[in-house]
Amino acid sequence: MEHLYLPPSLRYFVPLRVEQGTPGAHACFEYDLVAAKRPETVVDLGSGDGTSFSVFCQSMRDHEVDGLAYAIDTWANDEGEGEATRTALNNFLHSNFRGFAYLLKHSSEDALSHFADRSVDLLRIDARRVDRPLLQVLDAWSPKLKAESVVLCAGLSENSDVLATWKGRMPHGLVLRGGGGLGASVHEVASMMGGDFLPLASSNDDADRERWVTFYEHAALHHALRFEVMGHGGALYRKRA
Amino acid sequence: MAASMRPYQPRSLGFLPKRMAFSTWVDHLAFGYDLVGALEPEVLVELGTQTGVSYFCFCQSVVEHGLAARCFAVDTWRGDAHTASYDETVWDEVRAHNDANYAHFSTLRRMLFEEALAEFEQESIDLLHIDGYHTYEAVRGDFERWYPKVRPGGIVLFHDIAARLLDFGAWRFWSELTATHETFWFKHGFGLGVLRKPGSVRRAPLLDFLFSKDERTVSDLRAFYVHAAEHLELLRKKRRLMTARAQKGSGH
Repeated sequence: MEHLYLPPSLRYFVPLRVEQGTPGAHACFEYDLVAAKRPETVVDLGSGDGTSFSVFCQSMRDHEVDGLAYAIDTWANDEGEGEATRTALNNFLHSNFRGFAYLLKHSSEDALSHFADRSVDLLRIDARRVDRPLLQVLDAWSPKLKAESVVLCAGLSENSDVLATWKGRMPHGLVLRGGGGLGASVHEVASMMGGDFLPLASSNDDADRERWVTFYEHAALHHALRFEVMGHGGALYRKRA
Repeated sequence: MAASMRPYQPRSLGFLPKRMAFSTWVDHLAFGYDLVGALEPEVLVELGTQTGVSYFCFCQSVVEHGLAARCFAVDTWRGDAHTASYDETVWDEVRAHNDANYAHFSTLRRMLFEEALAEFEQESIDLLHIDGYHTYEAVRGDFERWYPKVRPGGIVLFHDIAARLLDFGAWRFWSELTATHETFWFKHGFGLGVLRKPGSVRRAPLLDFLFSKDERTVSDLRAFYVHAAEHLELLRKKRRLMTARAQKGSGH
């Protein structure tokens, strides 16, 4: 059945951090996911410039989620710009999300020891930035995940092996298009409801999944249009140096 | 897993109106487009068309949803005390747009509303849009004369029910109607009232949302079409930007 769905991303979300010239392709999905899941612990592996991580933090702040968020990256492979990227992100987080957002300069492997088993509610992996194959990262981090936690994987559509790995390991859930592709799936679905984020809880078949994917394409288009049409005046969006 | 559930994503989210002019109806275009798609009217009548922004939105929806509707626009195209009088160019533009796009199912009737009444049988109209003179007495008169022409289960739209200016009284008549009829209203775009005549009703997601008794659904629907109106505005602005850039690029 059709559900009247107008999530926070389309009601009042104005992305604070716009690094790539346009809001992230999956920012709306990420914002709504955090609003619905209200995660206590967020881990972002391969944060890079922090576009996604900043969305998680903004949603936690906007929705008064009393959690902790960790951006993890070596910032080593950015043509000498890694340290500047890390510093800029650190300053941004300090200015906007003081008290609950941290940077950890680690590889995904080294970071493991800092997290207890079954403690993570939201894990994002950027397959383009982590130093190990996706399957190894998923296997290594799986014990750290709570039941009904959500796993996201960015960069899926840029590498067919990565996409095949993800689909083999996470056959349920959605694969959003655009922005390099984003896989989203619920880990260990325990209840009949399958979690509290509607797009992941109600995606029963391919037709349903396609409708959620196209809905979030609409949301991304809406924000891209707002940025292009209204952003140049600086009233709604501000691009940070 | 929960029962199958999909987000409502109506076709208006990807639609651009062919006919645009200055009109406070612009904020209701997405809804008007989707309402026609959901209701699938056989007969659609608009009272008070002026530049045709709402009427041609309905017509465009008829075409793009592949419907077999007959549409009628009734207006003197001479203006009234609220629109002020306007010259013949409005009528010329409307007639030209109709001839070019919708002549095979759309008829413009240039006359007073009362004069057009006899052309419609009782209970024959599926969708009636009342947007004529906006005093309390005028809106009430239009409704009382035309309501018998509406088919059971049919829908009547009232524009400007949130407008508080001059001697507008649509808001006051609307508040009376809500006590006695099945209604929904949008608050944006100077207000648009949606009234359903009792009788056999069509089922469609939009119609179910409109006449839901659930307060959350009602407020979500209002918010959804505010969003849809903003989205359409952004698409139009983007189109204007691209046109301006193209003209600049070609040296105009």
